[in-house]
Formats: sequence, C-alpha cells, structure tokens
Amino acid sequence: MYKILVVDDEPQIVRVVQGFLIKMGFEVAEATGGEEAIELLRSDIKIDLMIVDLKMPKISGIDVLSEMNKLNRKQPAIILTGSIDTSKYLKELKDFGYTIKDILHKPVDLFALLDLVKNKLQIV
Amino acid sequence: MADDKLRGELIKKYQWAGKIRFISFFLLFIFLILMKLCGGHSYLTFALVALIFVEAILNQPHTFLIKKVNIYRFQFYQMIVDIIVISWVLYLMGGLEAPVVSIVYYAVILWAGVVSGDAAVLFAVFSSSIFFSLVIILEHFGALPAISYFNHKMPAAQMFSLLLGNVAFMFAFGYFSVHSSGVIKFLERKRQEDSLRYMHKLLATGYLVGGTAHDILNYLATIKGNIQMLSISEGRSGEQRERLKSIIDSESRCANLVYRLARFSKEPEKEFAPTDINKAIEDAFELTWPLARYSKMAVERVLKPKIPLILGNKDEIQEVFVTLILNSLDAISAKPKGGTLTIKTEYLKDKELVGIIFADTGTGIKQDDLKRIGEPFFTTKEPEKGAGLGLTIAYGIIARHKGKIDVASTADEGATFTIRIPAIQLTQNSALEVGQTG
Repeated sequence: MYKILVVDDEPQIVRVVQGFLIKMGFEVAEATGGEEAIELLRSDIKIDLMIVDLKMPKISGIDVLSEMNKLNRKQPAIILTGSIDTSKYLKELKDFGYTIKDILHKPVDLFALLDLVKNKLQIV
Repeated sequence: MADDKLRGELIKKYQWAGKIRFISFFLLFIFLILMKLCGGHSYLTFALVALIFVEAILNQPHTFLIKKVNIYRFQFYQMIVDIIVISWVLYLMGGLEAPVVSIVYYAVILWAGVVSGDAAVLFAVFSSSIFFSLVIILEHFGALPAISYFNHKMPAAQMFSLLLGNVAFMFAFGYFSVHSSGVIKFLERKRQEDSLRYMHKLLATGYLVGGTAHDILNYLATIKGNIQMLSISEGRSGEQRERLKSIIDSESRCANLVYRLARFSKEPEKEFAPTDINKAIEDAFELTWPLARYSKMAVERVLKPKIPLILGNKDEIQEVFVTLILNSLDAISAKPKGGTLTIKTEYLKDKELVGIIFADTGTGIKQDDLKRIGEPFFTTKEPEKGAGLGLTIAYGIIARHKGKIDVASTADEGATFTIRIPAIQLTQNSALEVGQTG
C-alpha cells in the first residue's frame, strides 16, 4: 500500500485530504506545518508521495522540498497551494525538478488530486 | 537629505529664473540700443551695460557656480542687483516721467513670492522702495544730474505724492505676492497630499485583498473537500446529491471571484532579500516629503551607520514606515505648535535584533485606544483621512518579517512605535537562503 505525506498548515485541509485518500485506499501520514514535515522526512518512515502546501509560516513548502532534496529522498511530490500567483515560485520549483503540472490550486477538486496522485505513483 | 532635496528644488527654480532674467536683460539691452539708434537720449552708459552683462551671465546658475555659493543668500544678491539695474534705467529714462519702468519692480516682487518665500518678498519690497525713493529724491534735489525730456521740474509736493503712491503700491503688491504664492503653495501641497493618500489607500486595499485571498481559498478548499467527501459517501439520495452539487457550484464561483479580485491586487508575499533599514527609512521619508515639508512637523533622523541588514521586502518595510510617518504627521499637525518626529535605528547586539523607533511629540493615543491599535478598520481619524487599515497592514507586514511592533503613548504628549526585526547573521550564509516564508 502506498503511503502519502500530506503537509499543510491548515489542519482542516489536512483532515479532508487525509480522509479522502484513506477512503481511496492509501495510507496517509500528516504534518500540520513545515517543521513536522521535515521531522518526518528525517525519520526513516517510508513515504511514496508528498502533497505539500507552499505558503506556511516559518518553514515554507519550498523549504520542505529543499530539505527533502538534501535528505536524498526520491519520492515525487505534488504542490497544493492557495497562492494566486505561483510564477515566482516556479524558478525554485524548477531547480528541484518540478513543473507547473505538479501544482494544484486550492480549492482543489479531490478527484483531480486523485488523478495526479495516481499519475505520480504510476497506478493505472 | 531633506536639505539636499530642498536645494535641488531651489536650484531648479533658479535655473528657470536665470533663463527668464537672461531674456529680460537681453531685451532691455536691445531696447537701449534701439533708443540710441533712433536718436533718443543715450541711455547706454558703460557701467550700466557692464552691470547688465554681468547680471545676465551671473544669473545663469551654472552648476559650478551653484556648488560654490550659499544658494539661499544668492537670491538676495540677485534681487539687489536686479533692483539696482531697474533703478538705474528708471533714472536714465526720466524718473517719475517714465512710471512704466517701475512695473519691472513688480515683476521682481512677484517672482520673489513664487520662487522663494515671504522673506524674499519683504526684501524685494523694501529694497525696491528704497532705491526707487533714492533715485527720485536725489535727482529732484540735484544730487544726481537731472534727466528730463520735457524740461519741466516737478514741484516737490507733486514729486512726493507720486513717490509715496508708488511706494505704497509696492507694499500692497508685496502683500498680494505673499498671499497669492501662499495659495499656490497650499494648492500644490493639497494636490500632492491627495495623490499620496490615494496611493496609500490603494496600496492598503491591495494588501488587504491579497492577504485575505489566500485565507479565503484555504477555507473554500476545506468546504469543497468536505462536500466532495459527503457526496461520495454511500447512501446519499438523489436530492441530497443535487444539493451538495449546488453547494460545490457556488463554491467554484466564489473561488473564481477571489482569483479575479486577487489578481487585480498586490500579493502580500514578495521576494525577501537582505534589506538595509536605513535606506528604507530614507526612501519612505522621501515619499512623504511633499507632505512633511509644509507641515508643522520637524523630522530628526538618528540612523545608526552600517546597521546589520534584515531579511525582508523593501517595498513592504517602506510601506510600514510611510504609514508611521503619516500617522505622526497627522498627530503633530493636530497640535497648534507642531512637534518633532524622531526616527532612530539601533542594533541590539545581544538579541541580534534591528530596532527602528518612531517617536513623535504629537497628540498621542488615548489609553483606551492603545489596546485597539492595529485592529482592522479602527481609526480615530476623519473618514476621508483613513480607513483604519494602515497599522493593521503594518502589523501584518512586520509579523511576516518575524518582527514585532510595540506602542507606548501618553495622551497629548506623543507616541512611540518601536519595531524589532531579526538581523541577518552575516556569518551564516544559510540565513540568506531561507528566504521564502509566510
């Protein structure tokens, strides 16, 4: 079973996404904030995919992705953001190997999220 | 820097004045030559021509000249030479016989009001009166060779009455000049104030929309997600599904609206970069200068040189400073005697914080109001002066910079806003990398 890490500073969103993914048959780890996410990434927990918010207090989504890179974790990630203009993040995201196709905007359609998750995990 | 700015403005005006003077003197010179060619009296004396030339050339405020002279005093030298030339020409043209020449005095008086201030007008009026009177009286009583084209000697009573009439008119004109230049300056200030306030308001609204959009979208995401979860649960009737779908449709429209609205406005999270606080203060000061310059507010800046940089967005930080300066301006303007705004920067080495202090001697903040500072839409100002968002936004911006604002105030004595923002640790380059926050 695939394990997905959901990172968002808004607990309600974590709960919804987590609930949905569990219903769809995934295993979910949650982090309400960048620090928690980094802690989880540093532990030896198995993660197949990360869904991460960009705009979070203290440690942002970019910081989490950067840390993930440093830790040499190779799992794919989906960016789920409430920011209107993501163009300014794109350059940094590109450095980590992400494109505009990896970004979903809030309020997200859960089924669109599911499609992207399946795509990333290469589930047919 | 304020003096530099004032100096710059003054120099610009001088350069204008210099050009106008050059043309006037050139015309005067042509006029004098023409008069001679026509066979009239020779007005051309060597000394006058020399003076005209020196005046016309010296009044071209060349940069090299302006750098060397006290620009404020220079205008008085210019005026006195102008008035001597005018008086000389007036004398050569027959004194009271050619009253039309005295109109030129009025040009000097009016110009003094527009370009400089009340002191210059007073100076122009007094020196015009004195030189004019001297020429007329000395000529009348024979100290200067009499020049008359009608071979007629005026009785002393007539001379004095004309002389007094002219002098009285100079003073009246001086009053007019002071008054009208005051009106012009007031209108100019009002226009600048309106545009600055409007810009400020626009910026504030932008921040507000941009700042709330992200939150609204987050809430909408929760709503949409939960509704979708409900619709996929088993055992939903067709009607229930219909209703849930209708909620999602409305939610989508709402999200669209927020996107459209937010795209029109500025997003609050911007590029963070190492920022010099002192520079931001200078820039904010420059932005508010059109308002401050004519106000009763004196601004003192005690900026610590080579202060450590902070990690932040210069435009946002500047916006905070503009807000605080404008607030102080309002508080000080409400006091009949005016007051001082002291802007100080400091570095707290032990806490590694940069401190910025805005202390004014304005009307202060009442104890009850102190608690409500920063609350959205809370204001003690008249509706046209502010919506009560300036400090709300300032608090938001400083919070994004991981800083803090403290307010202390005694009613009627003044208010002090202290801002603390973490300094960049220059030893750790990593601090520069963790730029994206909030």
